[in-house]
Amino acid sequence: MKKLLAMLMTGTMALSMGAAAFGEEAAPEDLVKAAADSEVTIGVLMKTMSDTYSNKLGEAIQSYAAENYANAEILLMDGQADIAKQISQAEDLIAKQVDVIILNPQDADGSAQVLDLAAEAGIPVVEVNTETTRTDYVSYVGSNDAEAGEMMGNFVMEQLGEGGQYGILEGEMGQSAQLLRYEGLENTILANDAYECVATLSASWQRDQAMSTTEDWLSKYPDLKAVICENDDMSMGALQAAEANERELVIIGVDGISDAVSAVSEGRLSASVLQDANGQASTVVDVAVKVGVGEEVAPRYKVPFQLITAENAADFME
Amino acid sequence: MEQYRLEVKNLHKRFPGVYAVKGVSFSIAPGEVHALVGENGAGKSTLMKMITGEYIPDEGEVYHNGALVKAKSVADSQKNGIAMIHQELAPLPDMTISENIFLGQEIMKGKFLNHREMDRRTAEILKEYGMEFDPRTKVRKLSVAQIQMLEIIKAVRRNADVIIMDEPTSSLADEETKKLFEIIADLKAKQVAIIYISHRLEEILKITDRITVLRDGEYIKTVPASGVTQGELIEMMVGRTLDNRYPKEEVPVGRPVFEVRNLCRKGVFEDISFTVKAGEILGFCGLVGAGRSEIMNAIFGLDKLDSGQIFVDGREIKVKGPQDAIANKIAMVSEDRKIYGLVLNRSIKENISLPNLAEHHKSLFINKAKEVREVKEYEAALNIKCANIDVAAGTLSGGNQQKVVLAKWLLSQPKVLILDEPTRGIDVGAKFEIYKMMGELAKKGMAIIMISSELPEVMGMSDRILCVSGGKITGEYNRGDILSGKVTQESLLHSALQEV
Amino acid sequence: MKQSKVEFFRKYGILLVLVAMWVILLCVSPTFRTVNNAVNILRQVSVNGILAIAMTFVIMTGGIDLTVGSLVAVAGVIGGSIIVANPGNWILGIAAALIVCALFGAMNGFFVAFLDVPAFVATLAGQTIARGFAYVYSDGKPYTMASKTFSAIGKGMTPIIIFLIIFVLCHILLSMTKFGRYIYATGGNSKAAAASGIRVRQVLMKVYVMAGLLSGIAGIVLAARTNSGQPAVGTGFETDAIAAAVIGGTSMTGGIGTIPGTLVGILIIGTLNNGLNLLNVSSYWQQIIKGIIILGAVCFDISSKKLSK
Repeated sequence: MKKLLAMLMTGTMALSMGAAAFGEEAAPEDLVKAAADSEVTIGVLMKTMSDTYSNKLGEAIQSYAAENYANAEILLMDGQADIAKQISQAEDLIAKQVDVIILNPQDADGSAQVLDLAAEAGIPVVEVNTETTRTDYVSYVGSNDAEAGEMMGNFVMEQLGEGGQYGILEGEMGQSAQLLRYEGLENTILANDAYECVATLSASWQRDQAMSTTEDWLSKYPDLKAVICENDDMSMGALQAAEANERELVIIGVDGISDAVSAVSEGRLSASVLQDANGQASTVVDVAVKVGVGEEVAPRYKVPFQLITAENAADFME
Repeated sequence: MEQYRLEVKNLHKRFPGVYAVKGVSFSIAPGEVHALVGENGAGKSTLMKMITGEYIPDEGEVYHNGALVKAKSVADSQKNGIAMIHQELAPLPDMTISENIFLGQEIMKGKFLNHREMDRRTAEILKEYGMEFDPRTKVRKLSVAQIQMLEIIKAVRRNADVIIMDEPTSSLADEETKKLFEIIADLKAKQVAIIYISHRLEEILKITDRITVLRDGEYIKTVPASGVTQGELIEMMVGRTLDNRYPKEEVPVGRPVFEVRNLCRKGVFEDISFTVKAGEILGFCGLVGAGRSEIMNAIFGLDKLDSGQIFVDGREIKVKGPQDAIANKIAMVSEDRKIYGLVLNRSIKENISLPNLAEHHKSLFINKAKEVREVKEYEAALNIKCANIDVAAGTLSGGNQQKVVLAKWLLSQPKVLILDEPTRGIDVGAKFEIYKMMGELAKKGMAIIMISSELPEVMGMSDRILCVSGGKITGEYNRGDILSGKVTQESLLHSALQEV
Repeated sequence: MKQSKVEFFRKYGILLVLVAMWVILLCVSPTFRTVNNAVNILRQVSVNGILAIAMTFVIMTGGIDLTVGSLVAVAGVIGGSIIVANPGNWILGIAAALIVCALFGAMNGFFVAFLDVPAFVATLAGQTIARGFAYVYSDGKPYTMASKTFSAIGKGMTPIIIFLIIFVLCHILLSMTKFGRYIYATGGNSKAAAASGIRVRQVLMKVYVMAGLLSGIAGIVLAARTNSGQPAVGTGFETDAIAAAVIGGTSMTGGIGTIPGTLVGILIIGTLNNGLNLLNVSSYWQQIIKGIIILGAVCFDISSKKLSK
């Protein structure tokens, strides 16, 4: 039995090496887990623990590791949305000589420094959720944000039918989630002349800012039909504004945070695109443990997005 | 025609509500010491600020060595060689003497400051001016007189040929004043022109060549110092004759109102006991630092007492802070009105009513009509010169500021009034008004304590004088003995200098 | 220039800036002319306006309060947690939130007034402690509230009415009461104030407690507006509050300032945010324009005051 397992593992190692060589995207299902009793210390650098999605991701990483790898130690750091803090936390983890670092980058460029620091210390880095601009990490587990943008664009076009006016609430400008989700919109609804984008403004991922901006739009554009939000905190803010002004709008966001999901199930919010926090968390922990014990992994694991609408919302309620 | 160092022609300056300087002209020759006298508010400061470029004149010109100057800032006029030694000195307290002297003209060694060379030269300069100091001493540690000397040194080093001195002796001891006069003589020999502003007419007559008198912003007269008396100057300044410099009224002295017993604050003063009666003016004399102000600060609750008792009307009171002193009808006009007397950026009205709000306005709200009525009453009684009671206290002249401080305490209708250097830095006219006010208050039965460094003032105004030296009372003198000539300035000085 | 004109500019310079902004926006943006938009602006400034009033009091004493933004979050999570657990008991939630915020204010006040810690340092520490507290208390998760009664606080005219009541009360407090006078005197010259019998330390303590309390109210309004108590909310709110107070003529050295001035200040900032949104100015440019207009407004105000010198 043991032999069989060993053989299997060698096989998958060869397979994953092959995948690495080709730089292909692997699906999480293809991953063969390392031994459950693997002894490994994993440092986790979260960009923040205070936006809803990041919080969920960080918590899921901890709980998944605790349930599946009894001998793995997780050291999770909250970067508090501050790039300088994230880098100094990386230095702390390196000083503690962790076996592997899971990096949830605060900034696509800035967090790349973590890769340099880790490389110097010979510690492998696995990135999760957001990618740095550099590619010399061992593996990336995430969802392609452009896909989320495309899902939103297609959903809104479908809902509006013939055409109509819409606005886009963007996240913190320059962050990869913002850039890629917008790219997804560019590929779909923005490329279609039947639909008119009347305004694009950043609400910095924040609920209160999204609310204010939407209020301004509602008084300026009486024919506004939809608001596309690059995250769910903003879609909830837009929803508050619409409800306060008694306007029916198609509103969609990304992340599937709990109050957004319940708003979808109540039919108030049109839809949310779920970036699967649990899926990302379990995959990245599996990958990190494998890397930690010296096994090979694929360079990219793509965790798919899911569209939550009134029909399937119940499945996503916690 | 002889060329003047400085000549001003027909300067005018108007402010909102005030016509501060109305066409003043005068001139100063090289090597001349020229006094500028006038009551507070006569326009001296404004005039000087126009010469140094802080204000731009509405009309008129300033000529420096024959050339028209259009200084737009103090830096401009400094470059031209006009320097002002301010009444409130502004050195950099945490820099050393040598850093201060070489500020802006540092000696370099390559890219770095050459501290050794600057210190060496500073030591030479200090010696020349008779100051024995380590050049690396922090300016914070110097006395006011020494800082003043430093400012003069800086001005001379910048090759200033016009130096304006604003009340240079107001905080100097006799010895230091003598030193300053020597330096002025020296500057005179170097053909520097000096504008000398002071309220001390005696010293003006002694050291200046000519005197220009201003009154209410107008030019009155320029006279040679040799041909004029103090009385004539005062007449020109106030526009009327003051028959008696110290209008002391003889008031029957009543029952004891205020008493302290065995007050002690370790290392500052000890075993201080005295009584003040209704209608009595008790003078305190002594050197600066002898402990006079410190005793009063402790009585008023600004400093802590280590031991001792305080009685008002025979009842012992506990003073933990000024609020307790005020509640027991003690008022104090502090020595430094800009630090302890006034909130400079708030209005005259707010300053006057500040200590009285708790007593006069029982509810949460201020009764505005009552407040304005009370303030106006005291504004009129003390003859405070201002556009209206809503202007900031900081915009007033020194004498008027002092009147505001007096007004705020008189409004509290104290039983005991402590006046610490009440006439420092204010002009004869205002001084006279304050003396008269003291007389009237004494007549109403107030017990008054007056600290003063001017011996003639203490002797002229007090019913009784206590001398303080080294934190102890070293002498007591009665008015009778002063009037009879038994006690003279010399005997007071002797007590004040007594080693304890 | 004539005397009266000079005086007029000195007193109302900054108000002219606001009026000028309104005139320009009325001309270029049809939406700006609607009543609904005016209500929007007022509602949007209500939270920051309450904070700016709190900040005005503190700056007037010669201090500064950097905790206001963090306290908005503290109020949100405390109120949120109680209302989520017991939607009917929203009054308890509000009361608890306000008490905790006032306690944070008292902590600032204690260090500033009684231990003479510089206000910048004391409240900077308070800022991170309060923010940390909000995270620890909520475990980093937002509370989503279902209470309709509570969310009414953030809807329609209610936030505006709350803001205006606070504005009027604070204006009365500062301009008509003894305590207001004591605040001015303490900020203008604390030594002279103490020598006039004012218990300066108590005045400072009360001002910081009041700032904490007002921040708590702002936090409750924001939580009701967004229907959620979030630990991350309010980051950087102190900068808008400081800007509003300073634009409104509050002197950073203390002793000078008015509540109506601060109202003008916060309206300038609110109008700017709203106007730039209506004109569809890009998010990048908005920040630059905001900075320039704030600088310009203050420069205009300073130069109009200099005219009278």
